[in-house]
Amino acid sequence: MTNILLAGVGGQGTVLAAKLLACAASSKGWHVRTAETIGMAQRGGSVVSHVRMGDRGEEVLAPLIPHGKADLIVAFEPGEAARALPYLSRTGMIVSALTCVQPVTSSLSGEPHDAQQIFRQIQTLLYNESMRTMANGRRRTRNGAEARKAELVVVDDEAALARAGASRKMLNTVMLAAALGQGRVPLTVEDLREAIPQVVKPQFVQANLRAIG
Amino acid sequence: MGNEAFAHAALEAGCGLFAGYPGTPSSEVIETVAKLVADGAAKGVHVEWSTNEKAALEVAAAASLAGTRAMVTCKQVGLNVASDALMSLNYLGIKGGLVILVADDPGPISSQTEQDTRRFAAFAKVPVLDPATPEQGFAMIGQAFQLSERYGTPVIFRPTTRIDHASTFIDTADQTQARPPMGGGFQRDPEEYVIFPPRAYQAHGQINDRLRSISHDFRFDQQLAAFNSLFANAQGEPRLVTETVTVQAPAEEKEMAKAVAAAQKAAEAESDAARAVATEPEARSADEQAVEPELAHELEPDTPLASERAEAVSFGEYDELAESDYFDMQLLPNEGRRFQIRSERFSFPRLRGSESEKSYAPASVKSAGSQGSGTFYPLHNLADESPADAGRSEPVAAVVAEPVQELAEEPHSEKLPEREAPPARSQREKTVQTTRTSTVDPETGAFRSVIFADDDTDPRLPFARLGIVCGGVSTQYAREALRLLERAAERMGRQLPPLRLLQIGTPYPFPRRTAVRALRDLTDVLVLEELDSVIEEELQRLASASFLWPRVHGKLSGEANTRGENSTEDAITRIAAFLDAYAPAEKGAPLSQVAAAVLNPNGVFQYPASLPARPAVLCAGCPHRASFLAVKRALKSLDIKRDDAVFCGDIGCYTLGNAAPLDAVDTCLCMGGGITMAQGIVAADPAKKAIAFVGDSTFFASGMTGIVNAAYNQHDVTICILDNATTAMTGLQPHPGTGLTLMGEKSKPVSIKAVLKAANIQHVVEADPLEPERAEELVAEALAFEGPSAIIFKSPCIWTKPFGIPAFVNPNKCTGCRRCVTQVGCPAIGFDLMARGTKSGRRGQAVIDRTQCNGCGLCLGTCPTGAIDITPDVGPAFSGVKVVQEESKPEQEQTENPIHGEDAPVEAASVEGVLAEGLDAKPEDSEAVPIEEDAVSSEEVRGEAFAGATLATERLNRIRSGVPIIPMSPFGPGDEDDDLYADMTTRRSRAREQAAGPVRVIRPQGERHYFMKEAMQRGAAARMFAHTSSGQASQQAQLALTGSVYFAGSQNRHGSDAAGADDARPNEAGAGEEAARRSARSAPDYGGNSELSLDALFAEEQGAAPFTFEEAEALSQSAVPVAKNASAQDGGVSDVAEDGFAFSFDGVPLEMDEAPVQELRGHGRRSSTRNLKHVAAGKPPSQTVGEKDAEAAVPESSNGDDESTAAQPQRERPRQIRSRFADYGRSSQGSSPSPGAQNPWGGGRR
Repeated sequence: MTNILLAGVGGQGTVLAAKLLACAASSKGWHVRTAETIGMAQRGGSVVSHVRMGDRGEEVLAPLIPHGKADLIVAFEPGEAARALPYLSRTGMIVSALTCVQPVTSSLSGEPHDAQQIFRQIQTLLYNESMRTMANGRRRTRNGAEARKAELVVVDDEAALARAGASRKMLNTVMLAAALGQGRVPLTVEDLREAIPQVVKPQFVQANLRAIG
Repeated sequence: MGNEAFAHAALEAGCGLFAGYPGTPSSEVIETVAKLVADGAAKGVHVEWSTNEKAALEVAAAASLAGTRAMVTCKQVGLNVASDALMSLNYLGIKGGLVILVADDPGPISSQTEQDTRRFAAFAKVPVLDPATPEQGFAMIGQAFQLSERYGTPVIFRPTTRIDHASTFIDTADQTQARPPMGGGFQRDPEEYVIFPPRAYQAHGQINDRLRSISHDFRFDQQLAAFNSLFANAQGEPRLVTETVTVQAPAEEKEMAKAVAAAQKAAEAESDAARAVATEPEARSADEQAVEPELAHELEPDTPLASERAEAVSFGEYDELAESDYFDMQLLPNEGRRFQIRSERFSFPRLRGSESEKSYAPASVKSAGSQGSGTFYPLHNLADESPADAGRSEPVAAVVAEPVQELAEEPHSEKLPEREAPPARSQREKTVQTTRTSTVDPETGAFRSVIFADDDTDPRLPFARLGIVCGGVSTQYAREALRLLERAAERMGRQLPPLRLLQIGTPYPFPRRTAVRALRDLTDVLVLEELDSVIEEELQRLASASFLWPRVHGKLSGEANTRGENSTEDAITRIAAFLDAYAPAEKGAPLSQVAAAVLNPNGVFQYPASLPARPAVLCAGCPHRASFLAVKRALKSLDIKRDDAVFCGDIGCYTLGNAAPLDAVDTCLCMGGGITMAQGIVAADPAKKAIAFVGDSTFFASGMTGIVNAAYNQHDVTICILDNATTAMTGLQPHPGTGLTLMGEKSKPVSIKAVLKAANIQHVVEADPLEPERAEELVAEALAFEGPSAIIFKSPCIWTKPFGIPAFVNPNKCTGCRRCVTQVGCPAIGFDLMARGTKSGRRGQAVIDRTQCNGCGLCLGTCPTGAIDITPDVGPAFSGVKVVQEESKPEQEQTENPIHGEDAPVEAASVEGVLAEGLDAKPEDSEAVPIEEDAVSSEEVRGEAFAGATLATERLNRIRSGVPIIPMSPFGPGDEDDDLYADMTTRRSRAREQAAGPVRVIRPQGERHYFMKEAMQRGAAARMFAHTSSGQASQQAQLALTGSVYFAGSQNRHGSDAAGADDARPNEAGAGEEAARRSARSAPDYGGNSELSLDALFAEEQGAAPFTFEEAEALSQSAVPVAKNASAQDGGVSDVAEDGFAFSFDGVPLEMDEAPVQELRGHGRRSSTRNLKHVAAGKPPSQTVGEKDAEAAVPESSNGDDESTAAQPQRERPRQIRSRFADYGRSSQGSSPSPGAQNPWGGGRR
C-alpha cells in the first residue's frame, strides 16, 4: 500500500491535489481512499489530506495514514512540512515548497518561521535516521534491493512557477509533478497528466498541463 | 466524498425530498443533491436548506406521511434542535421512508460536544445504522429507507466525520428519478397522525414490538445482517478448523465418528424438511415464525455458507485478497468434520425449537416461542436458562443427535423438572480431555487452530477465545491495526492468537442474536468505538442476561479511549495490550513489543522546535472584524471598560472573534444562545453592559425567539446582527435572508430589520461596518439606548464577491509601531523585522500580503502616520482582471474595456520574457493564447490565470483614464476546489443566458443583493479614493516603490527605481481640480486643517524624491538623533508625539490601552494631514524635524519643566477628539444624554 500525505495551508489547493492523486490511482484500478481535514482549518489553518492506495491490489482499510507510514509527503509550505513529519516513514520522502506563509500569530507575538532553519532541522533528523539504519545494518530489503532512505527534497516553487510561466494557483500541480518525478511512488507524472483533465475545471486544464510541462 | 456518496444513494433509493441545515460534517449531502438537481441528473426531487433542523425534520416528516421518501441532514447538535419533532415522530409513525442523516463528530473536530447519536436513537427508540466506510454507508442508505417503510419508523443513519469526508470511488447512477408518493399522496387518517396521549400509549406498544422485530431483522435479514460483519483470522483454505482433536480415549473417538456420520445423514434429511417449511416466514403465524427462522438457519451444518444466501447468518462475504490478508473473512468452516463435545465451561446455550431437539430444548423455550409477539424469537429465554443449563452445550443438532440421546438418560435437575439434565460431569470427563494446541502447517504455512477437546464450538465459526467488537470507523482502524500487527509479528517470529472481529453496524436496537452468535465461546472481548460506550454497555447487558459471557473490556474498564477520536496507532496499542493480557504467548515476543515495532518509536520523526500555530482566524477583509472593532471603539468612547461589557457570541464565523487581538467573544454556548445569554447577564448582573453578536443565518435558525424574549421581557441588551448574506462557516450556503433557494427560484429575502421592528425592538439601525466612524457612532447610540436595541451590520462575506483593491504599506511612512497588527489582527498584515524605512528605525515595518488583502480599508484608520493606503493593484499578484459592469453605463463599459468580451486576456509566454520587453510591451507582441470565455452576466465575475506583466500596461492606461479596475483574487469563487454554489449559479445563469441572451439585473432602489454581487458597494470607498489626486499620487508612489521591484521577485520593498518613478509621474494638473472636487464631495469631514487642500499637500510631498534604500538606511542611523532628542527631552516621546499619539522609540510599542484610541480616529489621511503641517508651512521634512527640536529645546531651557511642555500638546488632543464624539447626544436622532458627561444608562446602573 502506498501512503501519500499532502500538507498545506488553507487556500493552497491541497484538497484538489488529493483528488488528482486519487483519480490517477483509480484509473490504474487500485482501491483508493482519501481523507481530508476541512472546516475550521480553511481560514488560514493547516489542511492535511491523506491519500492511500492499494497498489498491489489490496483493500485500503483505515482512512488515515498511521504515524510513520507515509511513503511520500508533499508539503506546500515549510511549516506544514515540519508538522507532517511524524507521518513520514523511515524509507519515505518529503517534498516541500520553499515559500513560507506566515500565520497571524507570527506578526502578533512570535517570530516568523524561516524555511532554511526548518529544512536544516529536517535534514538533520533524516540524516541521523539514515546513520542509525546503516549502523543497524538494515540496508537491504527482503528482495535484496537497496533500502531506501528517508529524504528531503525542497522545491523552489517561485522559480519553478516562474520558469513555467504559471501563476501561484498552479502551485499544487507543480509540487505534485515534482514529487511524482522523484520516483518514490508507483505513480508518474504521466498519470498526473492524464488525471488533470478529469478533475480540474476545463478552463484551467491547459494552464495546469503547461505548468507541468 | 462520503457525503456525496450518501446523496447519490438516497437519490438512487428514490428519495423525493431533502431538507436540512448546514452543519459540518453533513453539509455536502444537500449541496450534492442540489447540484444534481440543477444539472438535471436527479428528477422529481425537492431539496432545500430549511431555517433550522427542526423545520427540516418537520417538513420531511410531513412529506413522508404523504408517501414520499424523505431525508433530513444535520449534525449531531442539530439533532438536539430537531429532537422535539423526532421524539414524537416515532409515536406518529411514518409512511414513506424517512432517513435522518446525523453526522457525528468525534474529536470533536468542529463541534461543541462529543455526543453520541446512538444514545439519542435509543432515547427516541429509533433504529440507527452506523457505517464503517463510505461504501458501507452507501449500501446502508438504501436499506435504511426499506427498513423505515417496513416498520413505519424514522431511521437514523449516523456517519462520522472520517466517513463523511473520506473519498473513494463508488459507481453511481447517472440519472435518478424520485419515487412517486405511495398511496397517491396524503391520505387523511386523524387517528393515526394526530398525537394524543391515548394514541401515544398505543403507539408505545407498537414501538416495542417494532423494535423487537427490527432486532430480529438485524440478525436474520440478509442485507441488514451484512452490516454486522464478522472477521476472523484465518489463512488459506476455508477450512478454518481442522480435524485435529486429541482425545485421550480412542474408543470414544470412534464412537464420536460414528455419531457424526449418522448425525449428518439425519441432518440432511431434517434440513430438507426444515427448508421446505421455512420458505415463507411472513405468511406464518406468530408461533411458527418464532420457531422457523431458527430452524432454517441452524439446521444446515454442512452447507457452505457462501452458496446459501438464505442462511442469513450475520457474516458478510469478502473477497479473498491477493495479499495474504490475515483477516480474510472467508466461508465459515462447516465442511470439516468436527466433533462436538459438550463442555461445561465455554458453551453457550442455544435455543431451539426443532423437532429433533425436543428432548433437549427446555420446554420453557418452546412455550415462550408460542407466546412471543411478532416474528422475533424472544431473547428473554436466554435469561430463563438456569446455571445448570448454561453448562450445557448447544451443538449442531444433527451432529450430536445420538450422543444427546445417550446423555439424556441422566437424572433430572431439581430446578427445572421439564428440562433434561446435563450429563454428569464424571461421564464427560471420562470422554474427553482438554488439549490445546495451535500449529502452523510447515508446508502451506496455514495457521491452524485446534479445537479444545472439551470445547463446544460452532462448526461454522472459526475457533477463537478473544474477540474485538467495533463500531463505525474504528472497525477500519482495528482491521488496519491487526494487519500491521500480523505482519510485524510474523517478522518477529510469532503468531497472533485466533481472534474474531465483529462490527456492529446496527447499534440500536442492538442485534443481540448477532452478538450472541458471533461472540460465543469467547472469554474476553475488547470494544473499540468512538464517543460513548454504547456497544460495550450493550454487551455487558447481555452478560447479565445470559450466564456465561465473555468479559467485556473497553472504555469502562479503562482499556480504550474515553474521549476523542480513535486512530490506527491507538488501536495497535490497545489490541496489543489486550492480547498480551488475555492470550499470552508461550513463545515469541509479547505483542506490546510487536506493537512498538509497528509504531516505530525511533523512526517516527518529530520536529524538535516549536512550529507556528495556525489558529483559525477571521479572513482578511472580513466585515465581522470591522463590526467587532466598531463595538469596542464605541465602548471606549462611552468610557465603558472592556471588563464591564460582556460580548455574548454565537456559533458561526464570528466565533473566531475571540482570537487575539480582537478578544470580542466572552461567551458562546449554542445556536442563537448569544441573544438570550446577554439577557441573562443583564438580569443577573445589571452593572454589566451586555452585547450579543449573532449572524444572519443563526438569527433565522434560532435567534428570533431570543429577540422576542428581549422585547417582551424588556431586557436592556444590544444585539448586533452580523449580516454577511450567507452561512459562511459551513461553506457559504444561502439562508432566508438571501432569498436564494436550492431549487433555483429566488424568493424575496426576509428582512431582518422588519423582523426586529415587528418584534417591537424600538431602536433598530443598519450600519456598514466598513465605514468605521459612522458605524461606531451608530453603535454608541444603540448602546446608550435604554431598552433592547439592535444594530444590523450589513456587509457581505468576502467569499461571495470578487476581491477589492488591496492595501499597501508605504515604507517611507511606516514607523513600525505595530498598531495595525495589534489592533486589527488581520491575517493579511504581517510584520517584517528586517524591513528598514525612513521612520521605522530598526523596529521593522508592517507589510501587507496583497494576495490576501481584500481592500476593506479597516487598517487605514488605525495607522497613525497614514502609511497604509489603498491603491489599484499593478503587480502580477492578482491574476485576473475583469471590469465589472456598472449599472449606470453598461454600453460605455462594454466598448471601452478591451479586456472584456472578444479581447480575451492574453497569456505571456513567460514572465521573464515579458519583463525583458519592458512594461510597455503591447499585447500583440506576446503570444496571445485566447482562453475560452463564457458569457458573463452582471452577476458573475471570472478570473483567468496568466502572467500580468502585459496587464500592467493596460492597468496603467486604465488608471490614467480613470476607469476603475477590480482585480480578481486567486482564491475567488469558481476557482480551485469545487465551489458548489458558484457552479450552481454559473450553471443556472448560463442556462438562463443561453435561453434568453445576456441578462441585465436591475436592482430596485434600496434593495441589496449580496450573493455574487460585484465589488461596487465595498470597493466604493477605495474607488473614490482612487479618483482623488491623493489616490493617483499613491498609485504612482506604489508603482515607483514596489512595481518594478515586485516584478524582479525580490521581497525588498525599499529599492526604488528613480527612473521608473520619473516615468510614472502622472499629470495631475488637469486631474487635480476634478479630484479635489470629488474628494471634497466624497471625503468625510476630518475637521482640523480642512482649509488645506489635499492637492497642495501632496504636491509638496511629491516634490521630495523617495529615498533609496541606502539613503533610508543612512537616515535610520541618523534618525537616532531624533530619538535621542526625544528620549532625552520628551521623556521618551518622539517628535511625532506632538501630533497627538505617543509611542516610544526604544523599540517597544505601547499597548493599545495606553494610547487612547480616540487619537487614532479618522482616516490615515487625517493623520497624514497633521504630519504634513510642517510641509504646508513650507519646510521640507528633515529641516522641520531639526526645527522642532530647536523649538522644543528653547522652552525647556527657559522653563526647566520638561513634563509640562511635553505633556501639554498631548493633553490637548485627547480632549479635542473626545469632545467630538461627545456630540452623540446632541445628534438629530434623539435626545439621548451625552455619554461623556453622564452615565449613559441612567442612575443606579453602574
